[in-house]
Amino acid sequence: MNTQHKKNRPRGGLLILIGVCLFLMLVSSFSTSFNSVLRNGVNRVLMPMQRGMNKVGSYVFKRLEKLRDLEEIQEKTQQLEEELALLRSQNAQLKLKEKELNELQVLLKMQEQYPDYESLGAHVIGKSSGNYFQSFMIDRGSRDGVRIGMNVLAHGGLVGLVTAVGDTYATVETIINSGKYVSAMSTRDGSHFLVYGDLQLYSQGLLGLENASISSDLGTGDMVVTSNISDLYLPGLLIGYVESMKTDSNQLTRTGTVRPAADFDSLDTVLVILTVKEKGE
Amino acid sequence: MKRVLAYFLLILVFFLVQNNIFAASSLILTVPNLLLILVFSVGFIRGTFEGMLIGFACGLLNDLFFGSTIGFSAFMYTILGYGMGLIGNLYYTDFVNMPLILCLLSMLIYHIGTYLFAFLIPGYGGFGAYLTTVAIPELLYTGLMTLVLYPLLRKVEALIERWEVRKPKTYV
Repeated sequence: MNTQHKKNRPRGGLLILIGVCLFLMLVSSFSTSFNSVLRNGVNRVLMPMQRGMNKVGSYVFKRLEKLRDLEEIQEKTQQLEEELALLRSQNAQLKLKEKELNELQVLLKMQEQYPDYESLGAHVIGKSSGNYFQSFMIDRGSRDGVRIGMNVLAHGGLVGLVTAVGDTYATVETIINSGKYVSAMSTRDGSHFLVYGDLQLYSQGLLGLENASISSDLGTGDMVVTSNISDLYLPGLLIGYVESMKTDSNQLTRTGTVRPAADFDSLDTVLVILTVKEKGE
Repeated sequence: MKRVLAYFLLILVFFLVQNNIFAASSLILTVPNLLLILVFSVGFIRGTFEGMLIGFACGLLNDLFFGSTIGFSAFMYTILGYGMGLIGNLYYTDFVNMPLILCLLSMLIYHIGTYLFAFLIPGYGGFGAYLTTVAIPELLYTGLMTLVLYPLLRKVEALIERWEVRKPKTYV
C-alpha cells in the first residue's frame, strides 16, 4: 500500500494542541458553567444519534440477554415462591403492627422524617467507556427539572448523584466509583458509618463499609440506608445489605462489606429524586 | 476535505458503538477502547499530524460526554496519536503483529497516564488492583478488537486515498 508519511511536520501543532488541552483542564476544574456550555452544545447535536444507537444496541443485545436470563429466571421463580410464602405470613403480622404504629404516631403527632420524595423516571442511554470511572448518562435534563446534586435510584437502591446537567440529558456518577463515600446508617440499631466504592471489592459486586463503632452489633443481612447526616444524599434511601463484618486491629472500629441493592451491571431505567438535600448553608 | 469528512464519520461511529452499544449492554462487562484503536491506527498509518488531530478530537468527545475534567483524555490521546505517528514515520512496517504491539504500547501509556492522574484524587485503590480489574481486561478486549479493526481501517485509508487521487486538484 502506498502510504505517504508527512515527515518533519512542525512540532508547533502538537504544542498548541497540548496547550489547548491544559487550558481546558484548568478552566473546567474551576468553572462549571464553562463545562455545561461546552457539553450542551455537543449534546444537542449528538443526542438523537446516541439515542438511536442505543435502541439498535438494546434491540440486538436484548435478544441474547433474554436467552441467558431464562434459566436464571426459572431458578429465581422457585426461590421467590418460597420467599413469598414467608413474606405473606410476615406481612400479616406487620399489618397489625403498622396499625398500632399509626395510632401511636397520631398520638405523638410525630413529624414524618422520611417523606415520600417526588421522583422522575429516566432511561440510561450511555455509559462511560472507561472501565475505571463509572458514570452514565440519562435522557432527562434541566428541561424536566433535573438539577445537579439530585439522588438517583434503581431497583429500589441508591445508584449515585447527578453531577452534570444539560437541557436534555444528565450525567450520573455512581457510588461504586473508587473514592466515593456515602454517609450511611443501619436501620436496626441506628449506628452511623461510611459506605465507599472500591475497585477490588466491586469486582465481587460489593461496596466497602468502614468506621462503624465497635459497640454496634452490625451483622450479615442488616439493612443499610443513607444517613440523615449526609450532606449529599437524602436520608433513608436504601443502599444495600451488610455482607460481612470484622473488627479492626485497633479494636475501636469495625469494617466490612455491603451488597448494593441496585444492580450496577444492568441499569436501564433509573429514578431521579427531584428533591435536593438541603445543606443548611 | 473528503478525508476530514471520512475521519469525522469514523470518530462518530466508533464513539457511538463504544459508548452507546457496547457500554450500554449488560452482556459486555469490559468495553474495548475503540477510540484508542482509531487513534493509534491513524497515527501509525498516516503520521504525526493526523494522529494528533484525531487523538485530540476523540479525546475531547470523550471528555465532553463522560470526563470529569474536560481536556484530560484529549491530552492523553493527542500525545498517543503523535507518538504513534512518530513510530510510523521512523519505522513503518506491514509486520502482522505490529498492530498488537502498538495496541499494547498505547494501552500502557494510556493507563499509566490515567492512573497517575486519578491518583491525585485520594481514595483510589493501589496500582495492582487497577491493573487486574481495569487495565488487563480492557487490554485483552481491545487487543481482540484491534485484530478486526486495524485491517479494516487500513482498507478505509486505501479507499480514501483512491478517492483523493481520482479527483486531483487542478492548479492553473
